[in-house]
Order: sequence, then C-alpha cells, then structure tokens
Amino acid sequence: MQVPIMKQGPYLIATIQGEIVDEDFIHLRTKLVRMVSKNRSRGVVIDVSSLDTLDSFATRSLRDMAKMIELQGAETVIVGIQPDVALAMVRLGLFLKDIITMMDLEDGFSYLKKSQGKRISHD
Amino acid sequence: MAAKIAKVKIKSIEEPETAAWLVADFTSNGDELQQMWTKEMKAEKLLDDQTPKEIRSESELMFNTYLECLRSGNYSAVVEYSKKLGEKTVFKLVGIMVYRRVLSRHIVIMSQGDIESATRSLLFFERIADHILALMTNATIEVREKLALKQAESILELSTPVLSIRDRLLVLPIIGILDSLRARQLTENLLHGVRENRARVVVIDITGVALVDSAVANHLILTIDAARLMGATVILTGISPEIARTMVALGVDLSKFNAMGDIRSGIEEAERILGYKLVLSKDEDEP
Repeated sequence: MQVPIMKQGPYLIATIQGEIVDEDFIHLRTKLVRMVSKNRSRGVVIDVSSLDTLDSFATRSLRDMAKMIELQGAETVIVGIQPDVALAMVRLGLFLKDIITMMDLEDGFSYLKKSQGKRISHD
Repeated sequence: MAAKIAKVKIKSIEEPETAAWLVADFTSNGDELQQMWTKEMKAEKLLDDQTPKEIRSESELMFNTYLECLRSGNYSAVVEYSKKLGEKTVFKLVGIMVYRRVLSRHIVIMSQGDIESATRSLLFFERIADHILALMTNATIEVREKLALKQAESILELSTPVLSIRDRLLVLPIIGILDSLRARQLTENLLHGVRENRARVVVIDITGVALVDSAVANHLILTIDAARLMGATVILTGISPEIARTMVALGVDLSKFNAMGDIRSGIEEAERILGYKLVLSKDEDEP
C-alpha cells in the first residue's frame, strides 16, 4: 500500500498505514525526497502511529530518509511511536539515534516551527 | 493439589435403597436436625456474629446440599454451594462438619439398635460426607489462594504509580526493592502513562531504592531510550551515593540518565524544559 504524502504550508506529512511492505518504504523515500525539493519544504513529519511493529529494515529506511531530507535542507520528525513498539525497538537495539522523535503530529509541528531557521548555527 | 478432588467423577448411587431411606428420614426430621445443628453450633460459639435469619438460611442451604447429594449421587450441589463461600468461609466449612456429626448421630439413633443396618447406612453416609467435605475444603483453599493472588497483584500495582503533576509532566516515585519484575512493570506503566498523558517529560525518582543491580540499570536505560522514541524525555533523580558508586563500578552508560540530585531539582528542570515559570504570588500586604 502506498503512503500518502500531504502538503501543509512549508511542511510535508506522510502517514504510514498499518499494512506496509518493504517496497513501500523505498517508494516513500523516493517520493518524499522528490517532493521536498519540488515544494522547497522546510520540514517533514512522518506519522507511524498506526504501525504496531517497526523492524530493522523499517527503522533503517526511516533513518535514511531523514538523512536524505536533511541534505536537502529540511528537517524530519518521526511521530507517534507506540509504547510497545518503542520497547520492542530498544530491545532489538534500534535506537534511531540523532533522529528527532515526538509524541504526535501536534508536537512534531510545534518542534518544526520552533527549530525553524536555527538549524544552521555560526559558531 | 486439592483441586483435583473436584474432578473425581462419582458413580451413581451404589445403594439406592439406603440412599432413599436416608433422604426420606432426613426430610421428615428436617426441622429437628436443623435445630440440633444450631444448638451444636451455638455450643461451640460459632454463631455469635450472625443474625437468626442468616443462621436459618445458611443451615437450610447446608442441609439441602447434603440431601441433594444423597438423592442424586452427584456433587454439583456442593460445587454450587462452595462457589458462594465468600467471606464466611471458615464458618461454612465448620457448619458442614457439624452437620455431618449431627446426621451421623441421627442415623445411629434411628436404627434403634439394629447394628447391621446402622453400620451400612453410616458407611454409606460417611463416604458421601467425606466427599462433600473434601470438595468444601478444596473450595476454601481456592478462595484463599485467589485472595492471596489478588493482594499480590494489587501490591505490585500500587508499587509503581504514575503521577501527573503538571500538564505533560509525569512523576514516578519508586520505593522499595527494584527487581527485574518491578522494573519491567515500571517500563510498561511509564510508556503507557506517557502515551495516555501525552507526557513530554518524565521524572523517575529512586530516592527510596536501596540497591540497583546491573540488570535493572540496563533496564532503566532501555526505558529511557523507549521513552525518547516516543518523544518524551526522562530525568532520573535521587540516585543515592551507593547506587552511584555501583553504577560507575558496573560501567553503566550514564550519558542517557539526565540525572539530577533530588526530585525537587528534577521537577524544576522538567518545568524549564516545558517552559513553565514559577512565580511567587504577591504578598497580600503589598499594594
């Protein structure tokens, strides 16, 4: 199932639905990177709240996506990781280091709004 | 275990004539037998805290249980009765025992010196009474075990409370021994608490914990990581000097702990993260 991407001002929202296979992640990555550059987006929120599992491939895909989006000058926030998913992830050693994670869409947006323009510091 | 007794299937009555005779006899002398039972129970001071109405209904229930077992030869009546054990477990158990004594004595009296018939009836009755008692004892033990289990659960439940003290700020005070079972429960409570309260910051206070071993320390780190994935920050406060020493000696990765000295500074730090500002309200004397 393909992941819908919505545009909201300078931000993009990708809501990953329950039934997702590995190819969908690859597809999402390509589409997201393309849309960021096309729309000159400043931030991307990836909502995973309806996923009840995040395996190593999914985690790596999310990481790669975030890094690629960062290279295009936008920030990525992953939101809505469920309690049990979070616990399973850390048990498997998937920490999503240096990726911003937030509680929900609302928090994700408020983070993006706050960090706007502060990403590049001069010191 | 006692539970197995309940599953023993009893064959239908082997001596239908004896059974029929006993049932008829007990029924016709029902009032008298129940009175004798009440007398015996009173003599043993077992009825002190019961109202006459309660006594009558209990007595009747027990008496009918015996009758039913004799009549039908199966013990579903006992199983049914034992389900209602509730609070007065011991009273009911003793009541059943006293009934057995009263009924046995009655059988001997009724046989009027006919030793053979008395023996046969008694043997038959005793076998049934034994089984009734076994079932009742079994049910009593089950009731107690259930109670103990429930208490253990509620203690476990109480031992890791998740308190919401500000919007989006949770506090988890931990007191007592933090073993791996409690640590696991702590993690679960914390993560679900974060979800439910949309918490942004969680303060875990371990002032009341005397000892932390490496398994628990690692579990704490796991919890902190999981909370971060959910978008919450964990602050650990109240690490005693002893625990600090063990943690350093164990080589625990302390970088994730966000440790603060006491719960007060932990909450202050949490409020700073959340953007709260504590302002002293003006004194009433001031203009």
